[in-house]
Amino acid sequence: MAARIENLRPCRRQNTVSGCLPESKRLESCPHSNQKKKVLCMPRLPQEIVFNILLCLPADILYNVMRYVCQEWYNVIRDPVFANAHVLKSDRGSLIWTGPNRLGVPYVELMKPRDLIEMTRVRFPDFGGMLVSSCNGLVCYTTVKRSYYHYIANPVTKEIVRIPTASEVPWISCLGYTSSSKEYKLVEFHGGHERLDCGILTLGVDKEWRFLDATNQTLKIKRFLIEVLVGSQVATDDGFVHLPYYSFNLTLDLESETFFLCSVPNCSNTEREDRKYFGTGRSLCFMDRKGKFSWELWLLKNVPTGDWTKLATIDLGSQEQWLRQSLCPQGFRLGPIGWLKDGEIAIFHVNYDPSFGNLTLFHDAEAQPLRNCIAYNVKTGAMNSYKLDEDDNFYSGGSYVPHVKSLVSLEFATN
Amino acid sequence: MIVLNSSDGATFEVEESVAVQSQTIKHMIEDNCADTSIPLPNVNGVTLARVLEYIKKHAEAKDDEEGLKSFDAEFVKVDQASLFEIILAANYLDIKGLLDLTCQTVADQIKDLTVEEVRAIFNIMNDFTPEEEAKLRNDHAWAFE
Repeated sequence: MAARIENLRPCRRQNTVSGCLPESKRLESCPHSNQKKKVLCMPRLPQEIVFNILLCLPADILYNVMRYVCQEWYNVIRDPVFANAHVLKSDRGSLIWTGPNRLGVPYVELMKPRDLIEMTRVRFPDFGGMLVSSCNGLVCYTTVKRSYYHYIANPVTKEIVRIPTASEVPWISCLGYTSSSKEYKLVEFHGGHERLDCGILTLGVDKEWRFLDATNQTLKIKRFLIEVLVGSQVATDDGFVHLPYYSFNLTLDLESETFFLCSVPNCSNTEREDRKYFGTGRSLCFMDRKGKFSWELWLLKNVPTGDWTKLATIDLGSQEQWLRQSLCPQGFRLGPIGWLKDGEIAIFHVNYDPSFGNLTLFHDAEAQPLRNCIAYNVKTGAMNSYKLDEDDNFYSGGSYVPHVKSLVSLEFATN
Repeated sequence: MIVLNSSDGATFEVEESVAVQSQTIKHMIEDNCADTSIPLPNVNGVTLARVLEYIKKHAEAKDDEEGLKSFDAEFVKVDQASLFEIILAANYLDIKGLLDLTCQTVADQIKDLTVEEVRAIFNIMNDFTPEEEAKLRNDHAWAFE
């Protein structure tokens, strides 16, 4: 199916601004001046240091404020080399999509300098579809009701492109990035009775969808269980798309565009709810529920060999009483929803647990948790609780997408 | 022991194992340029003393993550001009940890400032013409609002 990639808004062909003004116009105290120095002379920082300082700032502040300081800073910030270095360095946060929201999608992140968790809003035009994934700051959003499109947008630079879907109702779609060839690829899965169709499109290169064959691998999966794969797909920024199954993951290598089966840690859990896969933004993590408040945490270190490392065991059971008092006296459940700092801090959502008491309280505002989010530092064991959502309808069925604010431009996608 | 000479003639002695945290000094030693002393014409005495304080602490307390964190936090509590001097020195001496620390500190300081306030700190003139600036600022809406 031909995919005419439409540019909804001309991506800002950023004008090259003229060179900087000559040195003499800078406000440096001139040693030969006869005037008394009123202001302490500030040494001028060379461009490579300005580059390093700007790398430490969040993308939205760079784009909305720092760009306008002077032409030198403007040129540094618009440079794709800078944008790539910046996105590599930035910590990932978590987008929490629970449905269309006029205020924007809640985004949980660590704010420097004191590493406090904050929730802000990420806004992009709502076309009545569903947020499916985010890669290097590019958000991918799919509509399948009156029109069938993938929208890819950078909420910081406000660039957006639109690509028709390959099939009418894609089951799973996501956006990934291959760091070696530096390409962004849109992937769409659609299942039939015995096979899994996979469409792939390289942004800025392909004019049409191409189709990959996953038959060899999917033959190992009993055909009626292909639907199982729909559950939760995870794409990672390091060039792989993982579809979790039970004893293995079906993994697509975006660089070579081939499928393989990736092994998973051994665990006895068979309930899908108890085996959760999360993208951390750079890798895949697996949480195996061991008890009501304890999980084993695994991180995928090496994709081709299926090498998992056990990061930690989280056990909050010992603190259950104390947590119950400070979070939700009526009884609570914890559901893992995401990661910050590339696997260091786990975020849990606190839900009211109806098995603890009166079912009619379930929708009662009084029974709602006092604090509905816990951040747990896997290394240090430190725990903080937050009340994040004010107006959102927070339920445990939302999709949690690792995200980063970046300056990556969509100019290449419009070629 | 290595002897370092600052731009304004001050002399400092430091252990070689500590001094090699500076890649610049490390290469000078390797290239045998460090027979008597190493001249550092780009760093003044006051700044060099501070830099040495940093690398000495980071050498001796290498494994004490918490201690180093609080040391670093105190270390950067200096006036703006001194902070910039330390950045320039860390850049010239190629000390990655110190450069990262000081750049992050400056970034945290300017994060919530307006454009004019940032210009004041860095002593930068606005070299956009009013037309250029208006054009750039207008480029800001989504296609569908």
